[in-house]
Amino acid sequence: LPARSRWAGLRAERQAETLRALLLAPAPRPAIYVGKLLGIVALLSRPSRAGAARSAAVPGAALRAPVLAGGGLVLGTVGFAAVGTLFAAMLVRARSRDVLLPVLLYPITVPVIIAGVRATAALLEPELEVAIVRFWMALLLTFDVVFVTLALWTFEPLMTD
Amino acid sequence: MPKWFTPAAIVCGLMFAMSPFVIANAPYESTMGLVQKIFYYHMPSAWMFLISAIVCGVQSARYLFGGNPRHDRSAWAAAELTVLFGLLALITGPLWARKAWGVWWQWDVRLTSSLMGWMISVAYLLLRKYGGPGSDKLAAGLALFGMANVPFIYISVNYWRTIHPQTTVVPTLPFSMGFPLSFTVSTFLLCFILLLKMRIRLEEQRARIDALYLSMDE
Repeated sequence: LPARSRWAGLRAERQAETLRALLLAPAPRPAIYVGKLLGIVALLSRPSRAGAARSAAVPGAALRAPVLAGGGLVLGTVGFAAVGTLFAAMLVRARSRDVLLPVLLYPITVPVIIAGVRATAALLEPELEVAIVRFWMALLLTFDVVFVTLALWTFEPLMTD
Repeated sequence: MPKWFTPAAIVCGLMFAMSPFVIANAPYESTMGLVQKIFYYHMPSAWMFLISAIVCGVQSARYLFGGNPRHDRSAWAAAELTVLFGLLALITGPLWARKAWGVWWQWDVRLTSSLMGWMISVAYLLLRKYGGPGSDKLAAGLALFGMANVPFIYISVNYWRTIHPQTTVVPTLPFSMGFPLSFTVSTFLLCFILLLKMRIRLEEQRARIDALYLSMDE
């Protein structure tokens, strides 16, 4: 969903030539990436919050650590959006982009999805084990740092041509 | 081709021919018996899979920031070898797992991360084939993400409860098992270098032919 929504946005930008205008702006390319990343994170935060609220409403699955849950939500969203934003921007000029986007995105984001799901599952357990939640969240944070760093590093050469 | 290529290819062929005999002479592992001997092909395949992913990532980074097509050609060659050796590791692993663990596949962290790493390299090749103009740079960006996955695959067995043996097993092997392993690792490494060299050479020849066609058209 984030990839598709980001992709739809970027396709519209490409058709209207606004992406070119954005790239011609006298701003560092990583700043453009950060702007787009924040945009998609903001877009995703609302359905994420709604999903978390619905999960907490399931009988016997009360959310016992809302701060940790909120942290996990942010980390998972950033990790997923970081890769989705870069790849959607990368593929905007590629042939067969509609087919290639999920093919590229799926294997890279699977670790983020797994870590997010396991952290959420641990949070919903009747006996809350904070150590397990922290472990998966530390992993999420590691992936976020790696993905955002790589995306910031490669955005400029990838969007130069 | 360089002068060393043919003698090295002959040595590699001989080493591959000898490897079944070297493995047959290794002692049986006490709990797994004969099936443990798959390990002598599985582990070198897995190591070459990780090494080729690193080579692909490093060469892609050099291409992305330097723009030299030679680096792109070697990254492409390494990506193909990542798929090849990854496939070998993913075939020999389940053959061993079926006997040792009782299941063909387990969704544990080492196996899942290896499969994801392999899928990234397949995605790289798909992008190169179907991405159209400019796919070389896009694939280079993807290869960097593939390389970032390598340390995770390697250390995963030490941090998660998994049925896959840990990385600490290899240094503790007795000489009778360590020697056949070193022999097969050397064989696979030589094979990897030769295939990489050959594949880069093929791409160089293609680039020369393309340049010739372009000059004729002009």
